[in-house]
Amino acid sequence: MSAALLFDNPVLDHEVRQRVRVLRRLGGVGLPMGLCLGLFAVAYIALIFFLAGHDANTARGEDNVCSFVVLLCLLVPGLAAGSIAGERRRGAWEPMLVTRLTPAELIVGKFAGVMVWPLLVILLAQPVLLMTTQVPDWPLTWRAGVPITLATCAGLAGVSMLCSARCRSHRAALTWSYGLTFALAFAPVLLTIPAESLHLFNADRAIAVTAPLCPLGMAIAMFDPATLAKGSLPFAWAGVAVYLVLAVVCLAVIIQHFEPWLGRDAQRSA
Amino acid sequence: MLDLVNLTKTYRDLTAVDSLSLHLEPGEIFGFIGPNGAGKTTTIKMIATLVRPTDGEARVNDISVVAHPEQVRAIIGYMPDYFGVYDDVRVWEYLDFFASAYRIPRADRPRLIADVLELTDLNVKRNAFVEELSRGMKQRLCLAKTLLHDPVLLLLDEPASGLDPRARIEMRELLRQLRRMGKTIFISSHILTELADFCTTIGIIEAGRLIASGSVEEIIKQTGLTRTLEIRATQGLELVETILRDNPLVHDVVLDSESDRCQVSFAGELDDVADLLKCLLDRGVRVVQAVESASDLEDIFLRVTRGQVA
Repeated sequence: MSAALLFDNPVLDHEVRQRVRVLRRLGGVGLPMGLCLGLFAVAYIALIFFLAGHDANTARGEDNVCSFVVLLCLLVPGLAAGSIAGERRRGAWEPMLVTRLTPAELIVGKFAGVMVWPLLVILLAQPVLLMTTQVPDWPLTWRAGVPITLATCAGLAGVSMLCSARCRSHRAALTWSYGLTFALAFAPVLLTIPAESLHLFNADRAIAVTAPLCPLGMAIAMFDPATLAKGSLPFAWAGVAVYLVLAVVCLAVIIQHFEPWLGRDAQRSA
Repeated sequence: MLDLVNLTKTYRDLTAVDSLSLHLEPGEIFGFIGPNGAGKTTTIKMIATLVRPTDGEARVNDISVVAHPEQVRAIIGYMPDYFGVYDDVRVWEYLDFFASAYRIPRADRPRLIADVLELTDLNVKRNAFVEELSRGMKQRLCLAKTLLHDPVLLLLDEPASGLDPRARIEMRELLRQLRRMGKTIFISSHILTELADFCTTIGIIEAGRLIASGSVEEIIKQTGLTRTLEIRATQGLELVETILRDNPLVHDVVLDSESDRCQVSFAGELDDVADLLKCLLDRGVRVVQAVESASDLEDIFLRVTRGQVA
């Protein structure tokens, strides 16, 4: 059943094809891929130089790789919020409901469609990261960064899809998605700043505590050599597990409540 | 084919559809008429398994839409009044997606897509992007999508709304072709004159209640309305008037001597119309033309409804 959801799912197939079509229509596969790569490289380099105080040596440090996660955290909620609410707004959802697609196929297909972009960006970003930071090999932390970033995106996509399924309008779905993303991804780290200034935590402990709770803390814990040395790696992996479970739970909740939220009992207007 | 028994839908204190009962035979074309907000779309959505009825039952081919919605979806084709299409999708890709969603085997899809494109006259647009199609073509594409899995019952919600006259005529011809193919069609529309010569039966709904249903003939009979006949004779309009006024089923006669025509308000059925014309011919009247007014359905609609909403 679960294999069929991934390998014989018309919605997933359609979503992936649609994204490939978008790339193709921009003028061939090479051009959009190059554009994506170039844009991401520019954004990334600008961000790490900004975070490193315009110091090229610091910018090359691995501790800034977490900005990569931040960029994707801003992209995924927007895509996921539109996956259901956007379809309903333009009247494309209803025709799908009268086909023989199951709720699981619809939801998993839409989810996978959202995840195509982060997956593409992560894969494309690897050579860009290697080139821009001029490291001689592909470090372990970066390799580990791929599942961490994907897990983060999956968790946020799941939460945003939940918002998309619950909200009646696309705008409300976007608002809730970005609100919850902020609460999940950024707020825990921001909260450690006053905690630290009040001497409740030291910086390393704060990061270790927030690592399983939010992707930013997770990424810092993963990539900061100082916290890594203090053994915060397990916290980062716990964060991966939390986000994957969050994604699965969100999808399961939507599928479980498909009828009242998105199916026959969801129609409220005559 | 379709049985609705006391079908009801309420939204809090609003009764959108109130105890609607209906029976359609296979091959029947049912025109569903009513003012905006009367409950047409809600009724169609309940049959299409998109809205759960509050009370009552709807059965398609004796399958309950509440108990077995998946089985019902396999045998109905639903075309909503408003539908969206994906950008960056070609016509054949759009149809291929819905064919896969209806579990049509991959090997059969190219032939089926070609068939429905030919039926809807969209063959030349096979590789066009959906967003480039005109409104009429998009409507036909949606109908093509609806036909992919060869449904036995078609639910068409305002299929001609927003179309220009040419597109409307094309849509009407397409629906006629579907009728010839033996499809049972449940169609809602505001274009009453088009429904009148196309539907085998009609239903008029107002404020959620079905206030009249049956063939146009039956509704005329049920509601006690008269039909309007226009008779043209080359000479002797006075004689025509005398003969007409002698007939007990004739309510009123209005003469227009300039055009040699008279308008007859007639309470009989089609056989009675034939008898009336025979009587005129037997009495030596040279009848050139006898036409029943095409606006009958509009008259019925205006007289039966009061413009109330649910």
